[in-house]
Amino acid sequence: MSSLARFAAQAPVPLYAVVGDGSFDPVARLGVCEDVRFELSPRHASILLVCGAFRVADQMALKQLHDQLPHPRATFCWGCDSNLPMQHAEHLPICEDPLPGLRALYRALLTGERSSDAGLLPDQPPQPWEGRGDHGQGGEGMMGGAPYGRPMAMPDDDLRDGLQLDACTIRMGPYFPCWPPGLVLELTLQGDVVQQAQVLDAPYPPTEDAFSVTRRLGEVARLLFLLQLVPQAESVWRLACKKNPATPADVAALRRRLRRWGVFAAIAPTLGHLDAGTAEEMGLRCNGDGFSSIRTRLWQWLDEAEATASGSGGKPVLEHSQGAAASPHPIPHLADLLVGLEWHEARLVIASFDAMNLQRLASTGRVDSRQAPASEKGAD
Amino acid sequence: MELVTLLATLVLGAWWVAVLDELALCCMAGRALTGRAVSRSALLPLRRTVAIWLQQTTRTEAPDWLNWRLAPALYLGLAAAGLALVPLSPGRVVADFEAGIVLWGAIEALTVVVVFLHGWSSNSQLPLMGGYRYVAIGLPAMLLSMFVLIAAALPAESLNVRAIVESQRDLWNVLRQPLGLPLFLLLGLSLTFRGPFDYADSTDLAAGGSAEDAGIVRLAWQTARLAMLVSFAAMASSVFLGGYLGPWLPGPAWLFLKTAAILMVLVALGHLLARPPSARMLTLLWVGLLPLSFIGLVSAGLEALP
Repeated sequence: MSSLARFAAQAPVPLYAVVGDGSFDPVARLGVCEDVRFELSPRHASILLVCGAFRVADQMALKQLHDQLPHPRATFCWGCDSNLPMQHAEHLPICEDPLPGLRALYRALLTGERSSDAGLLPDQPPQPWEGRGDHGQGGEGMMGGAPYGRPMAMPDDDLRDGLQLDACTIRMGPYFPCWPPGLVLELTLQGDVVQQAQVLDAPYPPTEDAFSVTRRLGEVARLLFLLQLVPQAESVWRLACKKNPATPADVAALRRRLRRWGVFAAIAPTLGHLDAGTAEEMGLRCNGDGFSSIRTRLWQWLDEAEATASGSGGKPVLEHSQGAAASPHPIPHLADLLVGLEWHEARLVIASFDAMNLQRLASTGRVDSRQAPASEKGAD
Repeated sequence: MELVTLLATLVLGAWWVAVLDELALCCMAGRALTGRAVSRSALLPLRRTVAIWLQQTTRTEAPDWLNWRLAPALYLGLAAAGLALVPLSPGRVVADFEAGIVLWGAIEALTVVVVFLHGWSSNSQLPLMGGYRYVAIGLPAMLLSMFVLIAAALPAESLNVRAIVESQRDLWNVLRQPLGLPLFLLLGLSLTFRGPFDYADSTDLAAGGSAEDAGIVRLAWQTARLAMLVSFAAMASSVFLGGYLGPWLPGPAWLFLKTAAILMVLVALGHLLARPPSARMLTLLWVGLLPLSFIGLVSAGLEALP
């Protein structure tokens, strides 16, 4: 078993990365390294990589993520505060290279030289299930709502065609692959269509380098990842993180490749629609038909990356007005932009806003998209 | 003997696809494709297999544990059943059914059921959403396959896979019915939910149907996915590329070479094209690809008229 474990330990280290405030760049640089593999689900990882600063309110989410990793598991804190709930974690300052430590930790885990992390939360349901019948399916209060704290799917009117489909309310965030760190949404879904949305927590605020080439290319990579172009996303991250800054020729070549991969064809022309006034308020460009969409925002990122790479100022082509105008155009709430979309479309819409604009969209108050409290629909 | 060959083909084929995936990742992610990278890619699937094997098999609250374990076994069984229909040479086939193509159609339909079962049984939201989406896309994708397979059976005047191979002695179906193979390859991506057809275990759902899999369950599911791709490629090479037919080399060698080539194309397609949201893909399937496959069927029917 030991020789098998040593053989397996030479595989890329399977990590689940939790990206905190201000830690985008170091994690992106680590992500292009061949010796690590960022897993989509904590169930697939052996090491929980925690990087950056975290809100106190997010500590429970961190604990839950930690406990989802299968044994043998460990936590590696990179550039984190020491007040995190992971007591047996390895710690490393952000200025140091985490690779040797991660590799050694993975090997020690597989060979049994290091014991697996114990759970941080009790391994039992928060409330006991009291349903009756062979499968616990019957009993009081089992028709919709949230029996014993679990949201239960129940037929409800569908927004698009009026069919009665099962609606289920779930919470997404604050940490998820290629998800704005810190953003917490409560969504009522029928199948994978968003019927109601509510922002519970806004994403972490943008950092100072929000308009750098690295950040713009990172945003392009995030969209590619959500379009299932995983190796291509890595190539864009590699371009964003390389020692010599990306050149205008690099960005122009990327633009051609995006067309070849079918990126623009895959996204509907009107997906992520914002009218001209809103777009102007948010510093976004419009297309020939006078509205902003995911396609135009992606194109704008490429233009801004190209302009910055060519040295024409290092600023975006269009400045963000940040609400400085005398009579600012109202900005819609993020939740309103998501209702009626499929989950995949909703994720593309969220990913099509940079950190600055997403912060503005999500920070206009906790408004339910249908102006009805989630509890009325049986939410948790 | 045929049974041993079948199992060996599934295992070696699954390893070959995993290696191709790693090499494709190297090429498209801009990593250096050196000799070291190639040898690393050859060993990586084995290392990862052991690593996943050593992980704990986790469970969720109140899953349908029986079906959660059964789904990978069924998926692997369907892959093996599909490969059993493929003739290695004129006289060597594990399951020589007269209506072999119909049985393959049943395997496609049951795959949709198994993938949904897998998503549903873990009692978790993201896997369930993956299951829902897969059913929505898998059904029209399966209809594509029905049309192109019936078209391929027309020149043979038989639904038997061996007879379809024999009907290609003069001209392979890929040339006789040029629409058939490209459309059938899309079904292969759908059956194994890869690239533009990955609606079950996708990135936006944090691995979707597999999001709760760990340890041996995850290993079994991923192996079954690879095995199904191998089975599909062997069927595609038999129906459109003449299967075991070819000069100089023995029949099985030709079949393996053609299957390997189809696998390379499938892996490349799976990495080269973006996956649209499911509504857009449904429109493409119903409005674009299904009529196209029907045109192919009508054309094959007219050609087959005496």
